[in-house]
Amino acid sequence: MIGHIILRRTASALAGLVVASVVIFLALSVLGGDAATVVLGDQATQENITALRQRFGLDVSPPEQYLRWMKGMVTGDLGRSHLTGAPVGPELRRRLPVTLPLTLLGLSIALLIALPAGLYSAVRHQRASGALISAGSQVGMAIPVFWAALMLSSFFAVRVGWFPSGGFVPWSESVPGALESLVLPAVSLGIIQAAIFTRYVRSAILDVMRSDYIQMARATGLTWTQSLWRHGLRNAAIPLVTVVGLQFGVLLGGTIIIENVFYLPGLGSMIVGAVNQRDLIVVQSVTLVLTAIIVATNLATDLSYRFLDPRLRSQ
Amino acid sequence: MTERATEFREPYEVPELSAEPVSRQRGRRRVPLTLWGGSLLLSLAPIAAFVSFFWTPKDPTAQDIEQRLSSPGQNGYLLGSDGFGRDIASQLMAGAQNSLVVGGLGVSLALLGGITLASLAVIRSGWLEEVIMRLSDVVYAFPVVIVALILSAKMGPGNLPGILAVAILFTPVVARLVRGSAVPLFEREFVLAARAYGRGRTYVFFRHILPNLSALVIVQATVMFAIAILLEASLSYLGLGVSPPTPSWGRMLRDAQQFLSVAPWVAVWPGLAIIVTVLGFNLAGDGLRDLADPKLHRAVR
Amino acid sequence: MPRSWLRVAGVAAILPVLAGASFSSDGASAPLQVEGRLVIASELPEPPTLDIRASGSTAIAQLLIYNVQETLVQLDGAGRFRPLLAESWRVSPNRRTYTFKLRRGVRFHDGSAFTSGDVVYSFKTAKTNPASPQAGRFAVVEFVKARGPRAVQVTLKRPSFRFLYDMAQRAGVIVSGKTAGQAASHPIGTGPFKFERWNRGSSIVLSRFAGYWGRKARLDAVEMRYIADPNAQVNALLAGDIDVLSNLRAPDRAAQLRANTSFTFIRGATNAKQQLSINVSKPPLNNLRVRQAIAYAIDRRAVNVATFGGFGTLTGTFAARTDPYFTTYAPYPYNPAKARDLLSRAGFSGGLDLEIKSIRGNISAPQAEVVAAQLGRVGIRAKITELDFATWASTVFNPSVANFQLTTVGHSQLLEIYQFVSPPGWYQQYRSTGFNRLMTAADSAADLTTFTRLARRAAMRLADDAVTIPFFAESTVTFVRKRVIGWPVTGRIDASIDLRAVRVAP
Repeated sequence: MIGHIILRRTASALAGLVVASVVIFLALSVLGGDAATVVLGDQATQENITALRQRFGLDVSPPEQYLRWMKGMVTGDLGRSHLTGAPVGPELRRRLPVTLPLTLLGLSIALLIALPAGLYSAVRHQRASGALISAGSQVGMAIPVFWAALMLSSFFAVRVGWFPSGGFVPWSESVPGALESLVLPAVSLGIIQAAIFTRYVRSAILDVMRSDYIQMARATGLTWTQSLWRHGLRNAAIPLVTVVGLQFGVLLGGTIIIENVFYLPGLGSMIVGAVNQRDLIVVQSVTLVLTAIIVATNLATDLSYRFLDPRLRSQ
Repeated sequence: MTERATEFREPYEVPELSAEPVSRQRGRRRVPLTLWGGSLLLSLAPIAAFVSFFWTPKDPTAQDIEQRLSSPGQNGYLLGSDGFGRDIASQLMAGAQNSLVVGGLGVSLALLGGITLASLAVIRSGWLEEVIMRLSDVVYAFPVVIVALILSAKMGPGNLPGILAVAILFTPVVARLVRGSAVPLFEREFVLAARAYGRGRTYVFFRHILPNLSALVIVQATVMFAIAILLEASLSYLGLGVSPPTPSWGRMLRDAQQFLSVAPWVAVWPGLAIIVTVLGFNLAGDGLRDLADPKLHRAVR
Repeated sequence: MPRSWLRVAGVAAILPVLAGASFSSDGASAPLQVEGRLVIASELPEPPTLDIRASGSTAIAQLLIYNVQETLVQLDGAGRFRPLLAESWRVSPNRRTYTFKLRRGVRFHDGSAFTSGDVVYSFKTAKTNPASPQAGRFAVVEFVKARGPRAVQVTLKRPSFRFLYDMAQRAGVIVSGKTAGQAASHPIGTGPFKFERWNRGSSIVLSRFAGYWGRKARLDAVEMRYIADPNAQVNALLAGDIDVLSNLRAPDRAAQLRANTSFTFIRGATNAKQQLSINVSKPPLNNLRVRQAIAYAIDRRAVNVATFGGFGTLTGTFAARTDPYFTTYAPYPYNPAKARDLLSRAGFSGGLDLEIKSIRGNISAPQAEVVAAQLGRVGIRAKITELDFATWASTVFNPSVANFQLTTVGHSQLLEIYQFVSPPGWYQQYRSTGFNRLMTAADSAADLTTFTRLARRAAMRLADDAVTIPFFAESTVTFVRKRVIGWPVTGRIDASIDLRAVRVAP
């Protein structure tokens, strides 16, 4: 049964990814002009445009361009940047070791903060302390992630110099150095995400607090905190996992911005750099890779969600 | 970046609307504190933007290199001056215009598109509903930043990519919300009564159903507005927003980064402006939701 | 806190670290841990390629010229030519033929011997490759011939003073035909340093070449780091992560660094000339009065303070101190009243609308903002359009497109005044027979004095015509850790930092 579900969900996710790839391709290579017109601008002669189209491989029909691109994505040939001629694939692979650990670290920090904070504010929801955390999460959600980054950087990097204010030491050179480069970026990401997660944890725990089995646990003499930790969190995990899945895309979006604040050579700075340079070919491929990561994460949370909640296993 | 799924406990769970149509609700509900506080905060930006049309402490684009990086209160600059000697307070006020334009247009387009789509789905039924469901599934978790980046790559920098990104991404969300809430309403007595009168589905939708959804739609609008403001700030920070010298909160932060060690306040004020405005929209949305359907949150009070 | 919580926390914290550590065996070999290693932070963006003959990127020139790849002759700080790969040279009486006697015993980094064939190859390919940005520098060359393995003869179509200057800069870089193909990722040259490794997105590492023909480099290795954030550069210096800050791009932090006794402050000359370039073919900019009005409206001192911390040297002509024809002549000092007057006399008393194109991520962008405000004060409404470098290069900087009215830009090579000779008069479409005549005469000058006199007159003519409104010539604001000895204090030729004599005290 489980295998059947996994298969169906995976197929559905792949279908979604294909649809997304078509949309991305249409948006960047077809509608409103292609890479050649963008590069050369509105003053270009027809021959220049035709020549450049040929160089970019745009002289074939759009469906064929799409198929070539898709074939390349699957085989690992993600095209070449029109500016540097450098192949996109290897560059992308070089940058994954920055973006993925950063995103995961941000997520971890967010959860590490949100779980206890949400729990506490739920348990104390009628007291000032609980309300304070609630208010804090409201404010946290309103903070732009790059502003949080700038403020943290201003103090911890510029003022006291505990962490670097920019740049990335490659993992191959020094693992502690790489971690050091990621601390401030991940904390910036994590704090904002924690604000969002805290509210869900709080809400989920409050629901759990009304449930029968918790009342039972309390009746056996456990405190709120103990009973919730032992029994409640598992139930709170379900909506939390859903939220994590939903928010992962947002988290990735935040990573894209954060990489530009801290000058980290990851996928985020790659795509922003490509957008700045109107390098549509690079934007296209990187966007698809980012979309694939999001789809994969959603699939994973969807499947784990079913695994966590026994009631859904047969669905 | 601080995009929220809607406040519902599970995605897509549509809250029960009050049993009676809006027109017949009796008694005044107590307006929650969040609504008051939120409305107060979020009104600061439009007031500042409006006033800035007529007056700002100094000309927001006027440079005075001699007085660059003045600290707050120094040289007649209320909140200090930036790297070119421009008044930060005036820039904040004028920058509000830009943020609100992006928010306003983006949200309006999303609402327009979403309601239109939903009305078509409800009135026609059939495959369009399926399409809306699938579409909103796909875009629901997709970061609006990436959509905006794609559009910027194509269209070049400016406000338009941000506006369109919000419109494109949220049209399916609004459509799903409106359609999802509209369908159960079709079974209500007042609708059945209207249908008995011979009114068509279209008339019923716009005349009876949509007004009952107004609270829901407004709540969603506040969420989208907050996201749009954060998006505009992010794009401007990345250098993809509106060009100088038009003031923009996000670009103020971009320019301020190099002065973090010598003049940190240049980065503090625009950030606070964004936080206050976004917080205002979020709180107002929460308050409105509480007002419209206290049942949802009664358990958690 | 319950134990399960600690377990969860532990897992959550370890996971990303493991993810990252799994990448630690990527690519590179162990980092170079050697004593005599110098770490420099460059102010320029990381180069897109390492092929100096194919790209206009200044970052390549900064690192590779004279260090990894060499030219036949070198320009020293005083502007004199010194022998490098050419041990000596002779100029024919009609000044059209240069005969270079090549040094013996020179090897490329791959071990192959340097011969006249390599010179011929380098010059020929630079001249005939249409994609090469340096092709124009060889336009005056008639032919290049090897005269045996140790001599090369270059014959010009006409005498040209700039030829030797060009040969001392990136156009004259000598490569080997055998290894030229890999230049983009692994450049091979004859210099005292060889290319070691490129950590993309991070740094480029060079190591000492033991087979160098001259005095061996004092350093074991050099790492050029590309840290884009100026604040991060300063912090890296303060934290001890880097030894040299090549050129401070956060001028507001200069005071903090100068007060710090761990560093030496070196202010050097460069040939980076910052200016407002005008497209004189587009009305109303073809009207001299309008251009003069623009010139009078510019307060270059304010531009210097606002965008470069006041470290630039104000200039009034298209020249820097490292150009032999430099002059302090400045025909249009800041005078907004005069600007307004000229504008109304040109028929624009009601104001004028213009567009300034700037380069994103470059000092050009804030300069455009300052200029726009200054122009606004005299009634010229200037709209700013920021472009990415590639679009700017292909639409503004391209003489056959030249789609712009005004643009802020910096040019960093020596003797660039030649560029204004028409056709096409560079990307600014400057057509002046008087200027052309002066430049032709200067180029055919018999000696440096005559050349200087004539070129200076041409520069003054250019300034009078208000074709380009110079702001200042950049200085390099360099901070060097005290234990670093021998850092070049004279000007950089074509942005290159000559690392031969640099060493690190123990």
